[in-house]
Amino acid sequence: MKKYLIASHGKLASGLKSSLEVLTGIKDNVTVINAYLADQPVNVAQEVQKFLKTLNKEDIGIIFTDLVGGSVNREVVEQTKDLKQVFVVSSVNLPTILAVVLDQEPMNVVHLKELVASAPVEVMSLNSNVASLSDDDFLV
Amino acid sequence: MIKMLRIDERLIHGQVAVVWSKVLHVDHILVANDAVVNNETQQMTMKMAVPDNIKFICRSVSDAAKILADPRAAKLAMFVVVQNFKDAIKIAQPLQDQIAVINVGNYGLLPVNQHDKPQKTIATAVQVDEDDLKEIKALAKLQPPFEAQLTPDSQSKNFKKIYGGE
Repeated sequence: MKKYLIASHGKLASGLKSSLEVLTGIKDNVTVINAYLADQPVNVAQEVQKFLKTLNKEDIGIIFTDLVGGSVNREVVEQTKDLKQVFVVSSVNLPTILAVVLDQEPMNVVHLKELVASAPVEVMSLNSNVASLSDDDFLV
Repeated sequence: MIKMLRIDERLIHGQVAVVWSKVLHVDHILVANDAVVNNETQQMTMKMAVPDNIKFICRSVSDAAKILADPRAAKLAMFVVVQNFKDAIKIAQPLQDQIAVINVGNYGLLPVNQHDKPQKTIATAVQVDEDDLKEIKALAKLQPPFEAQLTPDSQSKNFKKIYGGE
């Protein structure tokens, strides 16, 4: 089974979880850490540890963090560096989470890189793909 | 084969373009809608929402029906999206044996599907009036399964069972 942790500065993590549920209905096996909120302090190290303890031998853990080298990310990397069953993604956005969570292939680092590459941040430019397909082009 | 005929007043949006298309493993998405076919900007933004590996077109409902009747269409994994039950009937009626499932999610919450008659909620994000219900019953009598399900992991309601009886 795949289990997910989204860890961020502030409420990005719970916000991403909320968006994921709106879009897919998925809410199980998604844990969040909203770090450094003044009114809801959490111990990031402990929370990461708690998540890792939920992983059984055959489980895959995928952890999404916000900033590369940010303290949340560093804590996660530190705690998971020797764990082969855990993958860490940084600079997460909603399309990344959707691509990974909806994926059904066996997980490995090469495949995970492909999924992440499929969900880039992009600048909208409407002229880039205006051409509409003909019926014949569509029907192949 | 039409893997799903989806009735969704938002047509192509996140739940449809990104989530359902992935779960259904489709390679073609056809939007059948008489208004959007004349709105180039909407078509462009919809096209951008659709993953690159999926072919996308938008056609009027009657043109869409013609495309779907083409023998070549039967070999493709197709996802057809319409905005209302009326259009769904036009698509589904002649192609009943080629539709794996009819699905509704997001209906009656936007002005486009509100007709100044009292509405009631009959499933998550599905609000209908008495005219809609007549069309739902007509759809439920067709051959394909018919369900209300907003997203692949949310609860599903069997409309064929609820509305398909005499």
